[in-house]
Amino acid sequence: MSMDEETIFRVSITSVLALLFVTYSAAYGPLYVIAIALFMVAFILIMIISFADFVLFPIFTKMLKITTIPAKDYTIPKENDGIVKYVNGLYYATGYVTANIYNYVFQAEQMVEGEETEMAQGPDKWEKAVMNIKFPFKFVAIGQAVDIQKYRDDLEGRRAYIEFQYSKSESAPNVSTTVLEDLKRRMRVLQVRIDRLGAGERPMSSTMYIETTAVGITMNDATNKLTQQVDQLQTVFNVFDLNLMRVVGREMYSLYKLNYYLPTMNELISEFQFQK
Amino acid sequence: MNKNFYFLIFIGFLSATFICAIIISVLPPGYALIAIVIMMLGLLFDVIAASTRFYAYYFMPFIRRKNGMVTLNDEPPFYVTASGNAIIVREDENIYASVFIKIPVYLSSTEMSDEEKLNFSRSFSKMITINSRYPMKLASQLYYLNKDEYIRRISAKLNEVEDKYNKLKSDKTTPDKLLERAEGELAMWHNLFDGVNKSPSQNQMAYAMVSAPGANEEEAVAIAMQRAEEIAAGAGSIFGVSASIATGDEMLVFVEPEYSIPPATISELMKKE
Repeated sequence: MSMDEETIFRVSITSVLALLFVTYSAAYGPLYVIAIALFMVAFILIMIISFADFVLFPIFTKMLKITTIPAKDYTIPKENDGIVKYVNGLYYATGYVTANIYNYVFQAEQMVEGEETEMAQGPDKWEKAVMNIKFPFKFVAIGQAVDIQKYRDDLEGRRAYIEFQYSKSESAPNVSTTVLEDLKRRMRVLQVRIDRLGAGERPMSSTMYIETTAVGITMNDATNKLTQQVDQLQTVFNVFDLNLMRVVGREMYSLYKLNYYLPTMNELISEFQFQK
Repeated sequence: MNKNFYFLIFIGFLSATFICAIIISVLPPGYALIAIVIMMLGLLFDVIAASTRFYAYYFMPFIRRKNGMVTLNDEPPFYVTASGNAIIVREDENIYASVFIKIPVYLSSTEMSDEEKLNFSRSFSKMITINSRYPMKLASQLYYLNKDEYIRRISAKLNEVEDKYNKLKSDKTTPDKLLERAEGELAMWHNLFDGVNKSPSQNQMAYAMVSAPGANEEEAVAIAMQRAEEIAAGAGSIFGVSASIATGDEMLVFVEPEYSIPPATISELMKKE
């Protein structure tokens, strides 16, 4: 779970305001326990809405039986797990699955060795996956390069810090070979990344997902087939060791809009909770 | 509605929450039940204020909903420019143009050495980070081919060959060898026609998409086109292919679901199921 500054700002303000209510203990008298319980409920709701709204929103639309019309001929059923287009007497249901594969480039903080081997296996895995899929889908990567100098400075800073830790650990009275090996490994990974920058690769900010469409003669038929397709995609793309989650609710609507135009990268990043 | 308006909604609900808190603070003792009711109201406003972070766009349509239908937009999601090489979207007060670039990469990993595979993966990384000024979408799409035109051509050819065969057959002077040859040709076209109808054909295509905002449609399209040409040149040099701007139906395959599953293929899909 990651937080952007705007979300933190809003969560702080709303939480402080909610807390304000329980500070007037005298006003509630014997009902103070109820006031505390209400505060807790409100606080939990604020947290869920701000950091995991994809859990709450489909429940909300299901309970109130709300269908959303995102555009002419399009419908988001109350389950909020697909977008259905009605055209020529047929229903086309489209769904989305998260699929960030860029652990091996610059996004992930954890340092992984053997990235090159994984990259070399990528084309084979991709072909095998595509051969097993017999329905339309698209694998989408939206990216933008970030400031190369800033990124290089960051990497070099981290390498220098690890080098310092290494020399400190080496001169310690009880030298632990495990710690030294781990530090060496981290230095190697950082060096590989710095070398890649030198070779012309650029750090990036990205969002990746898979989109698939199923067709049916009724809306239910189309959405049921869509669920089958999404399940199959999750199975097939598992070979890439990805976090394959079906996208629902507001983020699904945002991904649907990305078919038509791309806003700035900052706007994109602030839209997604489980994609960053 | 723009972001400032959404922020005003947030401030509005926060103020309402704050007013509720002030009312409770000035309530004399002995009004516990009223205090709880006001607190509930205040917390409701507070939760709504928190929800404006992501759901401000949903508020007004939700209030105006009819029969459980919340209409966010009753217009088509985009329209195609007269030149057919870009799509236009109106979002809030902005106009965006998006252009699609076809990247015909016809390489198979079975024909690559380990080093070539690694280089290909790196090319993919390079392609995504080709620019730092604006985001770009890079996609690989598997879709059903619209075989209408292909089937029509085969069907026309089949009719032509059938006519020719019937004529030859009715002519008693036709040499056996010629008739045999016409029969073979007819069988070939029949087989082709039957085969093409048996299962839907799929195609995989890589494409890139770039968007640009503009004060008007022309400006947005001009900027998006310029970006698309930069991307096409970059894709050409990275993958060694001739990338080009998609137009008309080939562009709509990347956008509209009914173009990736053409109605002509649906009966075949149903039969298969």
